[in-house]
Amino acid sequence: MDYAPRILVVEDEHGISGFISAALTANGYDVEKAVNGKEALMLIASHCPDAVVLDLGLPDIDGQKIISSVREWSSVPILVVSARTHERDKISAFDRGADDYITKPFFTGELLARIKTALRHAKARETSQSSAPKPRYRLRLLTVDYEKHRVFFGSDDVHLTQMEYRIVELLSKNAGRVMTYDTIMQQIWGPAATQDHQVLRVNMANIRRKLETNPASPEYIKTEIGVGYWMAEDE
Amino acid sequence: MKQRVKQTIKNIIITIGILSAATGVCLLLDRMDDVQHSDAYVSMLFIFAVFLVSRITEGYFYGLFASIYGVLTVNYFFTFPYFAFNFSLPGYPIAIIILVSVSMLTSMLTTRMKRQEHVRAEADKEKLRGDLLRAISHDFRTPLTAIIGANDTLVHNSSSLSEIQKEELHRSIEDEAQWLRRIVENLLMITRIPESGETKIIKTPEAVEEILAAAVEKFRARFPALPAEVCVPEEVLVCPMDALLMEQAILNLLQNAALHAAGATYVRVSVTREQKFARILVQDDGCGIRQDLSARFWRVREGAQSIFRDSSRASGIGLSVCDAIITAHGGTLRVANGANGANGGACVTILLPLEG
Repeated sequence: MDYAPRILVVEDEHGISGFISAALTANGYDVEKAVNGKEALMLIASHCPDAVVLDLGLPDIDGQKIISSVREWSSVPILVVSARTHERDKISAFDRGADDYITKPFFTGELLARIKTALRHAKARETSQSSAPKPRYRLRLLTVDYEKHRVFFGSDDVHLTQMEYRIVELLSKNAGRVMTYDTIMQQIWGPAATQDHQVLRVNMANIRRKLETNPASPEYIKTEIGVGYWMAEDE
Repeated sequence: MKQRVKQTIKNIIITIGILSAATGVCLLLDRMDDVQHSDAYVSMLFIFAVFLVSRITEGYFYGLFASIYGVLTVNYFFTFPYFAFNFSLPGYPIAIIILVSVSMLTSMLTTRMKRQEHVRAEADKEKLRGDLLRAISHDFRTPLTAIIGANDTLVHNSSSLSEIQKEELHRSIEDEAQWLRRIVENLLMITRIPESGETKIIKTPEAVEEILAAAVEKFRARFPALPAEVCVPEEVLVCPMDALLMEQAILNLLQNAALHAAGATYVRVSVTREQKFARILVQDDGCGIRQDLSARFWRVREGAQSIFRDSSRASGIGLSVCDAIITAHGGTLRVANGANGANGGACVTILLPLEG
């Protein structure tokens, strides 16, 4: 790494922000801390961190609102770290533009890995804006060829229906990121899509039967229970 | 408040319905039996009607009302002079008193019976909550003692400890903390299960394979040492469920295998279709579950206690929560020792209603 990426840790519990900062510093990150929402918004605007680790339960502003207001002007990766485990909190965070959602308690190793991923995504987004979009997604045996609208498993041409292909295309283009059921429904079936996610589940079950060796132990498309789907990152 | 109004309306409808039916039947019988005017059945029918009203409705009021209505109706319609009140017939006051007192006694007895049932149900619920809290606080104390103790030793005796000892203490803190995490996860899940039948868990149709996949993935991350296999059929099985609750239920069963099934070399989850149910099996080849306990032993209501042979402090919370979750979904859970391994291995069977 050329320079130490700057991470802003927004957390009002000193015990938690303490060990997160210690782990980040030990791994070569430049850490800044904020203990409330106002401070966080100020520091994001003035110091331009490379990523934000955000607790939702802050004393002054709800973390969800912070995500929304930051997203109005910045695409800095936001990793939510929260004790709230309910799916509606996760959905809301993802729909507002959070990059990741980690529930407490967590291992520092897990947090570090996810920060790394988020930083890599941000970098990839930056470069893809200036150059041509990637022509394909490739991970192990799976290849999604966006130009030919084809999916290959090894050398086999996988026969997907049009809907199935569009779901795979959407997830692979956002690989590593959770797409909520509603977002997928709207992107694939349009704004008139029903609230019923049944059709998506059935399509997903069929996709997995075509792409995964064991659909109940998926390697490529994972489920975030009650929230949505995400595809493993490509090579 | 709304509930109360609804209940009152229901009671009024029941009372009017039963009394009208009784009156109607009496009038009909009276018409058919034009000659003799035998009114023996009339009183009987009204006593029966009053009994029914008192049994079905709440409180004394409806039963009392029914008995007074009964007396007046019998007098007015069915005794001489017809279609007029006459309380001066010889022996008639006694008949009236008997009818009223029989009706009122029935009414009071049934009301008291209902109250007692209610009190008992409340007491059961309190006991259940108390048992659960006792089991939990007891279970929390042990890992907390270990964490506080290990940390204290590390802080104060750091210089005299060998690297291996330090490592061991750190690992014990980690293990105990993970144990607390599992318990807290389960307690959180309990808050998602409604207590009474009035509110229900929110169910959406979910593919069983996704739930199994998520539970197995979490399990693999937490217990990499015990291989977990998962097997689903070609057909997509969809069950209405609260996905997070169901994931926790499966995760609990997997964790039980890793934590309590001594000697287990694998744990396997599989699902098949059995008529209108998804049949989920969680099997291992470990030491099995104590034979002397009935399958329902570990239900919270009977007190949370350990059922696994080797466990030093399995509170049974995992299985209790699992059972509560499955029951709340209209499914059933059965625990048995299978035919695997030296001691049979444990086998948990869940039947979960399919959609439709």
